[in-house]
Amino acid sequence: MTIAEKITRAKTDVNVVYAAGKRDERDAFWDAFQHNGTRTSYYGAFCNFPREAFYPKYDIKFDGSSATQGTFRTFPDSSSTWPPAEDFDFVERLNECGITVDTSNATSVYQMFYYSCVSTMPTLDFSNVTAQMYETFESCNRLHTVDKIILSNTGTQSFYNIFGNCIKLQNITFEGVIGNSISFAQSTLLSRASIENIVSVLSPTVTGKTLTFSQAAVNNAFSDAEWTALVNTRKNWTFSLV
Amino acid sequence: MRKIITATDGHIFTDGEIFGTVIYLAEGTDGSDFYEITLEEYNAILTSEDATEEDYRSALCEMGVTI
Repeated sequence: MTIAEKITRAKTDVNVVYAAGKRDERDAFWDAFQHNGTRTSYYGAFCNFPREAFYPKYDIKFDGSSATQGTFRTFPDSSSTWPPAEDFDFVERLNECGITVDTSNATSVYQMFYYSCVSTMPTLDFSNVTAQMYETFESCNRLHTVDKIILSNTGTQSFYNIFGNCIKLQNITFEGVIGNSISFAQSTLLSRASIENIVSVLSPTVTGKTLTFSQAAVNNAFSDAEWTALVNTRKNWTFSLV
Repeated sequence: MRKIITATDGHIFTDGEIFGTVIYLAEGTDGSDFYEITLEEYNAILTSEDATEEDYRSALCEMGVTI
C-alpha cells in the first residue's frame, strides 16, 4: 500500500471509527434510558425531548396506569419558542428506528400526547385502558393522521376532550366500540372515510350518548341525504354539529 | 322518528357539556336538556380552551421541565 493509499484508508477508518463511536454512545444512552428494553413506565419521559435525539433503540412499551401519563406531552423539543416548532412525523421516525409504541397493556392514557407537535400517529392499542381517556391528544394541533386507535369491544371506555383542538386532523380509524360521548368538534378537516368509520364503531345499544362533529367537516364530506342516511344507522345516538 | 333541532341565527345549543348548531336527537328524546346561548358566549368558552403559550409552558413545568 502506498503512503497515499494508507492516508486514504486512515481517513476512511477514522470516519468509520467516529461513526461507530457515536453509535455506541447512542446505544449506551438508550440502553440506560430504556433499561435495555425492559422499561415499561415512561411517565413524562419524552416531555420536550429533542427531536434530533429521539432515536429509541427498543420498542416503547407501557404497563399499568401511570406508565403512559404525559409520556409525549409537549413532544418534541422547541422549549424556547411559541408556538412550538414544525411538525414532527412520529411514524416516520419510529419506522426509521425500527420500533413500535406498544400501549396494549396500558390502563390509562392521560394526556399522553398533550400539546405535542406530532403530525402522524401509529396504531395505538387502547383496548385495555380502563381510566377515562382524558385529553390524550388534546392540542395536538399539527396532527393530521392517526393510523388506528384500537378500543375494547365493551363500549364502556370513556373520553374527555380526547381530540380537543386537533384542528388539522383529517384521517383516523377506530377499531372496537365507542360507547360514550366523544367529540371531534374542532376537526374541521376530518375526512368522509374517517367520519363513516367513527359512526360505524358507535355502540348500537347505548342510550343518552352524543357524537359531535364539526359542521364544516360534515358539509364538506356529505350531501344532506347522505348525512341523514349515515346518522340513521345509529338512531340511539344524538349527533351534534358545531 | 329522530327529531332535529336547529339553533336560531347567532346562537348555538348546549346542555352544559355538548354544543351544536344542529342536533340530531336520538330517537325517543325530546331535546329538553338543550338551551340556546349566543355565539359570543360560545366563542368566549372556546377562547378559554384555545392552546396558549401560558398553557404550553405550564404543561412543560408540570412535567418538571424548566426552560
